[in-house]
Order: sequence, then structure tokens, then C-alpha cells
Amino acid sequence: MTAALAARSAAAGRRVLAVDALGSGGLDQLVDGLGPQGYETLRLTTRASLDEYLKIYLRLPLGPSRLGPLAAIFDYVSAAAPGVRELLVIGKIGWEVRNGPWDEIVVDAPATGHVVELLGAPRSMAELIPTGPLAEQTAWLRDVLAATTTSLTLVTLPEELPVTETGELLDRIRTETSTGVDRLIVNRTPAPITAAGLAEIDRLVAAGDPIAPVATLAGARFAAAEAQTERLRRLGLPLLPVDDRPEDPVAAVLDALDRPDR
Amino acid sequence: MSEPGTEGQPIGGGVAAIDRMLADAEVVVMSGPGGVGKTTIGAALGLRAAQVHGRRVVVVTVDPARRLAEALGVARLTEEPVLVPVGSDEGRLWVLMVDMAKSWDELVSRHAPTDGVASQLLANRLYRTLTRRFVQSHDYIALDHLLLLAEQDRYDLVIVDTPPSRHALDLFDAPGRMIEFFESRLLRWLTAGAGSGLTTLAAKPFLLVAERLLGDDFLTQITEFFTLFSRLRPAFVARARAVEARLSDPSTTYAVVTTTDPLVAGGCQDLIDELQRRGLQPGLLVANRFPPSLRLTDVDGVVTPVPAVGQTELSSVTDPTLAEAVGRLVDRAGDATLPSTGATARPVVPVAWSAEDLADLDGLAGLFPDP
Repeated sequence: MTAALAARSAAAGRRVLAVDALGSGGLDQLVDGLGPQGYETLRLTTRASLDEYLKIYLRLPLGPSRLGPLAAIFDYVSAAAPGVRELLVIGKIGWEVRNGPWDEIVVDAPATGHVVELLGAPRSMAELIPTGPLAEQTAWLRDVLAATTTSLTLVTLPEELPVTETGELLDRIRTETSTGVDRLIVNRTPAPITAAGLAEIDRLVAAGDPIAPVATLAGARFAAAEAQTERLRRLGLPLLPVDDRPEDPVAAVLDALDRPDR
Repeated sequence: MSEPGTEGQPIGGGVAAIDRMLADAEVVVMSGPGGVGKTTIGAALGLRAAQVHGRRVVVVTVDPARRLAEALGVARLTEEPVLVPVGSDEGRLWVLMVDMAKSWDELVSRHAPTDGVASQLLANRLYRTLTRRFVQSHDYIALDHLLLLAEQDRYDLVIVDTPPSRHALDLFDAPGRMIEFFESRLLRWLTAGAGSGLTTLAAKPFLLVAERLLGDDFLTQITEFFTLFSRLRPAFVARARAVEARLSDPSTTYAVVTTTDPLVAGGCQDLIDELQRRGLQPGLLVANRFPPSLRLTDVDGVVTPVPAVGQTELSSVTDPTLAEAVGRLVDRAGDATLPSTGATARPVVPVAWSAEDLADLDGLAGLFPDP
């Protein structure tokens, strides 16, 4: 999804940075498969974000040799004390927003729950650390996250549990962060089946056709997706259903983006 | 779904293999990538152990799983075990949900050398943020809960659902990380001089940088936190070792839940490989959401999904929209895969994909139909 959004903006002539906030490399793999995209990618690991953070923000009087062992300690603290990692990652992204040459930054954020930690990290830190340079840094970071130019795109599936989680996530985002949500992408939306198609399922089942179990599943998936999309609609956000085409997910997203919102 | 094997057994072992596991396992750890249905499969295993094997089972979940609670006929999952009406004379099934913040507080109260240390730590701002805001601190608590329940005579079998970790394996590192933390030089640096109000020379550069970064007030909090936490060290380290021992005990079985989606199966393979590197064996692989377009085959002991239908069967569908929807499921069956469980064949049990929601206990029991 991140790759598709970045590719689309780059194709429109914007300078785009795609950020893999998970540091997983999944974005790189996808990008490698896409060929030249006209956007740059940045993979964030704790260590890399930390070095940036210390060097750029705090102007610490430390050369690289002093930073090495210190960074090792911080790696350790960030593993033992979660929250540090989130702050560093969001700090680096904030720095790119303010100082980078980009028209647009697309961030592949971590899954449900973790994303609230990421967006809420500056606020958590502000509660924890009310004074000092870090507190000042977190103040402007919060401004970046609350700005109208920063928004969240939620991606979900038209299935019961993901829809429930999306509703809960939306509540948490609205109460625990200051970042706005602009749309909901409904990934892997199954192909629609007409009334005639649904009627044929019953005929196939009655005839004991070997394809009947698969047709029954296809019908049940479609009905469930319709019901779940209806639940999503009640969340009051623009919905963008993306066709379920596992063989070419990026193309499916691009097609969906070119269609008007439903 | 699976054709009969050489000795009349279903390929992969089927529900009979699950029954062998449920008859005598003491702890079952549910693992697998997020969103594969671990919580539901764990509850279905617990239900079968209670109904068919007459065992006293407790299923521990880490999320509220409201739909599952409904299917179990339980109003709400709470940190107190709730008895599920399973309709068995001997078998009992309880479910409980771990309350992370409360569990941490109880853990601290149990391990603190004095009540004073406990109450100071519980009031510390850093402690409260770490245990309440951050999911990572949940890994250890889920495992501590497992041990707490496994120690009780009230239950024969504990089935524990694992929390959504950044990486599925964070969970298995949790006790080790806890021990490492307590034995780290960092902790000693930070706490060595705290009692006398002096800071050790070794900690000085760190503290200078930390002060610059964090400000004095936070430094007071952080030093207090580490100092208080270090008082819990002997009890905590012993506990974390006991948790580790329990995880590698032969009576602990790992049930790995996957789907046949190549991405999910790939993530699951990493998990299985990592389990095996730690000398832990997955006792069962559940292939959840197994579509009717697939069946299992057994080639030299390796259980693999293969398409059960093809273009020939598809040609009997006439409506174009239905043909498209069915055609996608048939196409996807061609990419389906399952992780390999290693050299020794282990049960691989498919659970039929139904797009319908679980309605009740019968629906849950139906996930593993009688052989």
C-alpha cells in the first residue's frame, strides 16, 4: 500500500520519500520488484534513527567515536524501555518533514496498537519528561503530527475482526493522538456477485456439483464483505475498496485510487 | 478435505492427532502471525479437551475477543477465570483475559522485598508508562501468567494465546531479556551509587548525556525506577528462569496456527525455524481458513496443499460474476503453501474456511469435527 501510494505521487511529479518505519525491509522488497519509481525509500532501524536524532537535534558535543558506545547503550535501553524506539523513529520522520526536500512522505507504520504508540510517543514522553531539551523537541514533533498536512490512512480488510479492530484503533487515535485520519482503505475486497450469480450457487449445491463448496465460500465471502463494509461506512470516513487481486496488489491499489471514493 | 492416507488416517493426522495431543499436554502455547485466528483455535482446542477428554482447561487470552466471548456464552472476558458451560460431566473450561497493567502491579507486589519498595515502584511515573502504554511489556506478563496458572492444581491444561508482538519471537525472548536486564552493567551503573546519593564514576558520562537529553526531573524518576526495580532482582530473575524452564519443558506443546496464504505461511516458517533453533518443537500445525478449493497431499512425509478443483470444474459456473469470484479462489489455490514442520512428521490439521461468524459453542466445537 505504501509503495503504491508513493509510486502514484511520484508519477505525478512530486518528490516522495517512502519510509519503512518497521525497519523490516518489506518495502524494499516490493520496491525492488517495481523497478524505477522516482521516489526514495528510507528504512528506519533504532540505531540509524538514534544516530540522526542525537546528531541533528541535540547537537551533542560527541564525535562518532563517542557516539558508538553511547548508541550501544541506547540500543539496549530502547529494547528494555519501549517508547524510546518509537520516539526516535517518529523523531526522524518529523525531521524529514521539516528539513527534507520532500513534497510528500509516505510512512509504512506498524500494525494496530503499535501505531498509536508511535504517534503517541511524543505525548507519552512529554508526560514523562516535562522539562529539558528532549521535552522541547517533543513539543514541535507534536506540532508536526497534529498539522493538517499530516494524516493517517487506515488499511483494513472487510472481515469481522479487522473491522472491529479498525473501529477501536480509530477511537484510540482520536483520544490518544492529535493526528487526523483521512480515509479508510478496504483491502482485499472480494469481487461482487450479482443476484443471478448468488442464485446459481444454490443450483450448484442442489446438483452436487464439484465446484459447489468453492462457490458457496465465494458467496459467503461476498456477503460477509458487504456486511463488514457497511459497518466500516458507519465510521464516517471516506472508504476506498481495493479489489482482491493477490497477483498484483500494487496495481489493484492504483486502480482503486483512480476510482472516485465510494 | 483431505483424502485418506495409507493406513486410513487422514493426511496430516487429522483431529485424531489433535486428540492425542489434548489427552496429555499440560501447557499449549498458541503461536503464529497476527490475524490467523490463534485465539479462536486456542479456544476450540480448549473446548475439545474439556468436552471430549474430560480435562480441566483454562484458556488465557490477551485481547478482549468479544465475538469469542459471545460464542462461548460468556458475557465478557475478565481477569478472573469465567467458567464456560461446556455440558461435560468431568471436563471444565475456564477463560480469562490478562489485564496487563494489573498483572504487572501484582507481579511487582509479589516480588518486592518490602511493601515500601512495592508502593514506591507502583507510583513511579516511568514504571506506570512502561507497563501501561507499551505493548512490548506485555510479552513477559503473558508468560508469567502461564506459569502462574500451570502451577495451580485447579487446572490440568493451560492454553495460552500469545500477544501481538512486533515479531512473533519477541515473546520467547521475553524471559531472557528480563534476566539480561537485571544482570546488565547498565542497571548496575545506574543504581550503584544511588543508595548513598552519589553516582559512580562509571555511570557519570551516561548520566551527563542523559541529563542533557532528559532533564533533572526525569532523571530522578528514571534513577528511582531502576533503583527500586533492582531490589526485585533476585525474585524476578528466579521467576524469569522458571518461566524459561516451563517454555522448554516437554509437557509444553507449541501449536502453530497458519493459513495457506504464501505470506502468512512464510512468516510462520520463520517462527517454526526459530522455535526449532531454540530446541522447541511445534507439536501441531493448524492450517486455518483452509478453503474447499484445496486438499492436502503427503509426499514422502511432507504435507502440502494442492488444488482440489481446476478449470474443468470451474467451467460448470455460468454467471460471469460468480465465475470471476470462484475463479479467484481457484487461482489462489495454485499459490497455496504451508510451512514445513521439519524432519519428523508432525500433525498438520486443516480447519475449514467458513466466511460465517462463529455463533455458539457448537460452532466452535465444529472447527475440529470428530474423526
